[in-house]
Amino acid sequence: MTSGQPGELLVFFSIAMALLSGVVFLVSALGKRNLYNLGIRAYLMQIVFSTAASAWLFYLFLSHNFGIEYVYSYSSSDLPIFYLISAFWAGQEGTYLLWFMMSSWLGLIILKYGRQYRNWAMVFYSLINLFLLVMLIVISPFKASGAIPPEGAGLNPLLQDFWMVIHPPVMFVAYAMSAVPFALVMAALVKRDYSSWLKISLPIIGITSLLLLAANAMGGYWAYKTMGWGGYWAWDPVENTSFVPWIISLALIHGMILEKKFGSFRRLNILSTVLIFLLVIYGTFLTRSGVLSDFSVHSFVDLGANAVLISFILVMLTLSAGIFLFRHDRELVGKQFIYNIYTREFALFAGMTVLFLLGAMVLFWSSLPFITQYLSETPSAAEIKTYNSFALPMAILISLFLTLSSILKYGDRGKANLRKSALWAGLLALLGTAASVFFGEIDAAMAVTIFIYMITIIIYLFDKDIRPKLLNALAYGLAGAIIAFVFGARSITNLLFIGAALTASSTFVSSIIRMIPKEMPRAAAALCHFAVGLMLIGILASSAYSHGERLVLPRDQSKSAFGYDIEYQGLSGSIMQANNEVLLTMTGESGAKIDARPQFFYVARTDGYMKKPHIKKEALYDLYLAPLDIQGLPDSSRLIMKKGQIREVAGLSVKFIDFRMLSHGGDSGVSVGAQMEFEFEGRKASVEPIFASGPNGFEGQPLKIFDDEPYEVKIEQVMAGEGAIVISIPGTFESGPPDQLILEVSKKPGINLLWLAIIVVCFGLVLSAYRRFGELSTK
Amino acid sequence: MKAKYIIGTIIIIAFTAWGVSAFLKTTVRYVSFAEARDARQTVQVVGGIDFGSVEYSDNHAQLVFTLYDIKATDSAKADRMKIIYNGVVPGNFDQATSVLVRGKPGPDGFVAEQLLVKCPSKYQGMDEDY
Repeated sequence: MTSGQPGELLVFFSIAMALLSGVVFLVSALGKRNLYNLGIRAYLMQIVFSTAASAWLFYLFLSHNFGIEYVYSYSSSDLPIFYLISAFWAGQEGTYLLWFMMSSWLGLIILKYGRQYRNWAMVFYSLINLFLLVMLIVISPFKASGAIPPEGAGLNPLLQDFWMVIHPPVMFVAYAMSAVPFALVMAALVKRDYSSWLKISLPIIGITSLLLLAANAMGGYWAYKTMGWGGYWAWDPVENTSFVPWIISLALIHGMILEKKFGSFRRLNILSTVLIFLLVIYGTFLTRSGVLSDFSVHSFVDLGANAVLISFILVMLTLSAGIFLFRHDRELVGKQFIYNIYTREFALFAGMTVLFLLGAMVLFWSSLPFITQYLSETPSAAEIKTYNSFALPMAILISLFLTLSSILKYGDRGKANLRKSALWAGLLALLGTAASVFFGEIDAAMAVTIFIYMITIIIYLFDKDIRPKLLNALAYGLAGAIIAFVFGARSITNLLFIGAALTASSTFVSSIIRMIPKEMPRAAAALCHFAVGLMLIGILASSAYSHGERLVLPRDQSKSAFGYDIEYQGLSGSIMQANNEVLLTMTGESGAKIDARPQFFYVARTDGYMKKPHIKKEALYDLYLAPLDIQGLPDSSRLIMKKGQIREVAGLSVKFIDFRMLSHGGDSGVSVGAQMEFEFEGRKASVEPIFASGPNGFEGQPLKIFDDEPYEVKIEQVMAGEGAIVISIPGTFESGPPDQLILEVSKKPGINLLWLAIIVVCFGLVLSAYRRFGELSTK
Repeated sequence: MKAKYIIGTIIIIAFTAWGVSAFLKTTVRYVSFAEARDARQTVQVVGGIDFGSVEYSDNHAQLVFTLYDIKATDSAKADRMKIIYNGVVPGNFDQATSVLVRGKPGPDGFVAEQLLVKCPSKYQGMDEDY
């Protein structure tokens, strides 16, 4: 038995239990009630097996079992234990196992809180688990590799980060959790019983939403502090596919609140619940099918699971659409919603609409590579600025409806004459829009947004009950916009954005103060919305007002930027060594010296350089020091070569053919030969330099290439896992001027406001989920 | 009641139009060398790097090189174009078999906004984890 087989066996046991529980739950749901407990027992066994399978994979990682392909591909024996654990979810195979295990455990939510839907919901839930299990059969993390390599390929250094350890589990709990309300709503449709699915689903959707936000924020924060390009969000398809379900979940939470209060929007909520789950699978398909590999920095390649994913989507779509279309119950329709613009429910509805439109647009653009590959030979993707040009107006509209939802009251009817005020408001808004188009560079979408913002606000100002509160809020927004103007913001779009977001935030302050600390859980919603406004400001400030300059720093020289003299003092080690640091000293105006340590080193695994920035945090901004390039290093006389590669150096053509294991250990130690071919002025030579273990560790022996030429070749490093070597050929490179560092120094204002606001939103979501789960247990 | 559907339809049509037009405006086409020279908006062109022409100027902040058409059957007669790039040189630039240049023609040559390097032995598959 290979070491992978216990894992495979546990997966098979899980399949057996998932099948058994699924069938038993189905039979029980169809009438044989007494079987229900058997179903539960089978399901609990499935949880045990899924957990055991995951534990086994952990064990394989911890014991460095490189005979398993997955363990070999994502770990090495020098990896700290923390990253050995995260190697579990470094590749696709492991993430499906993680997803399945999370999914198994989350089924307990249905069993505990599912009430009358438990039985049917478990039927659908078992089907979902079965699909995840089929994925695990097709791409198994337990597959044995042909031979047992002595060392693993290691974990991509980009992933060796605290946030990358916890980001994937959080994301996959969210993915797995989205199936729970789906199963519940399917059960409600089957049973034609819509009385309590909403009450059960609302807190679960709330937690899913929280986890999606937290996972995306962690991913963004990780990108910001390790990737070095200075941002945290790039509208990358991988980000978008978890962003869209999050946006829809926000819309759904509001739809559910409206249904709870007024009995309306039942069908919309059912569809949204189904949609979130389908979007999660579709997103998985989109990012893992290989379709996006030319467009996304971190999409996966197709490992052959496409067919399973497509059938997963199709089966779930057919089941949900089928049953939905055949249900014409009067009860399903829900109560008629009264569209009255002076009510809070209307503001919520309008906000939901904006969220749906935002989600739809991002989904459409993310899917374009997938769609256009059928339309043309060169599939195309939407650019970041396309997304931004759309997200900006949407954020302004979200701020608008946030403001209104806070100021308006449920069921209240306005006192103003709508027809008359709309006319005046329309005229004034038209004037305002014309003025902003005249004075600022504004595209059509933004002009429409400005018009909508103005006409809406002015209409409400005509109502004398609403006027004082609205004016009060607008005063805060105006103050914010003026402060931004003083600080140098000139773009009308950005000023309106800041003003609108601050107007929205300010309306929630009084209710937060009123409810904290006595009614903490009830303050949750106000807290969340207050922070959303600040979050928007943080996003705008840190992206639109980030500015930087590029410094070219020769070694031991300094240049100044943002009030610091920055000196480049060389490297802590070699550029070929992992975690090599760039030594910088920043001297402030007061003369105080601070060390900054960005990282810059070669990563054979990806054949690229790791460029990790140094971030100096201040209260109002971050100073972001990103090393872009180091030129003229003596080390660059080293060549990294992969098997079969040919390179030219100073008229010398170098080819690396393959390794040859000369001695496997024992008394003579380990030695490896590299078969190489050289060509110089028409003459060819085949040589085999040797890399051998000695008393001081591994070392290469210099070897003369041609009898009558001075060239010598020496192996500096062997990277067997990558099939690559590093060689040096002394004399081929003249020693030039000292090396120099190209450093991008930038200032990112408001970024801490963004992180802080996200933490507050998460905290608010936790509070409200806590309150709703509390209501659920007390009945 | 009717107003609801009319407003809904208007919103959906407006959004679809917006989405498609915004996309068409920012899509970056793949073009030939000849088309790239006359391009008015940002385009992408693929070619090989003439390593003899690679030059760093402006104190290493600017990279200038000649791009040649790798599709040409006779490499001596291949179409060539001067590329000016002010960004960061990709780490594996000197190993590139071909490079994708995204940018616009300028007065002194084609000004690249972005270089995407294709390498001979770039791992197919397992390396792009997340």
